[in-house]
Amino acid sequence: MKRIVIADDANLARMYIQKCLEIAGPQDAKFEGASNGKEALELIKKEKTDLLVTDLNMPIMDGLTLLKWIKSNPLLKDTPVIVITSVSNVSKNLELQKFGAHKVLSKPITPAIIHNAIEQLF
Amino acid sequence: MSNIKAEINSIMINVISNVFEDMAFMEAIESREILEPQDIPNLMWSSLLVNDPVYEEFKLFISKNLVRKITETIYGFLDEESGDQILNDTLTEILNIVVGKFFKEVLPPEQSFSLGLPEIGSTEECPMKEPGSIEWNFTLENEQVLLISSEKILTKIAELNS
Repeated sequence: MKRIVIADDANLARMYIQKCLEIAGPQDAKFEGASNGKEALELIKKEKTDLLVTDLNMPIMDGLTLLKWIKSNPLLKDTPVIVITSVSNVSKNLELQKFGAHKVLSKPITPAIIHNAIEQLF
Repeated sequence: MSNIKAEINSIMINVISNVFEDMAFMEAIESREILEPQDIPNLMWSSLLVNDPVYEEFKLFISKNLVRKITETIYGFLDEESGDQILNDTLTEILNIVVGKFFKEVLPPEQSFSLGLPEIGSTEECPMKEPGSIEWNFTLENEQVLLISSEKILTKIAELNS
């Protein structure tokens, strides 16, 4: 069973992303939500995670810091990270990919968009 | 400057239309009506600070009824006991996405930008329009929606694109 962690401070956004993944993602996925980067990091440390989907702007720990933490941790660095954000542009996308993001997507996403982003992963 | 304002206005209207259509399957129609925030019945509002490349604020004013309709579209079902938190999430997320997409459209691709965390405004302290503000009025499902920011944004966007 694939474990997918979704990090976004908006409950609605987590629900929406999960719905898109339920439509377009792996059929046997288990979803867990986090409202900030710190919670997401705790979830990922606790159990093997097949995909992290994260927003950038979150309280306590933002998405970029979360990404850096994960990619610098030898045990977690192979966790694929997709960033879904409202502040993406060419410059931000390059920065995030430099730090190891698998894909950077602009909100709002659709099932088709998320499918294209994860098809190489599953 | 009036050309820039017209162009930016057009971009924002397109962004708003696309966001509501993609998220909630609703058509946003530009309105010429002069509207004060307090004119919107059962008002909810949210503010979002832009930190970079300009330090200004956006405020989105909308009826609770419309936010509920949008939330129901996204969730599929909203029972009567669903609290305000879910509606607050919808409102702040819409504002977040609209402002993000707007800056992505109006700024040069290499120019990064930074947004704060959107906040829900108090309905007991609804702000008035200030001098020097710009606004976008539109209707969705026969309800008024108002987005307000500062004209200083236009100046800054023009500078960055020159």
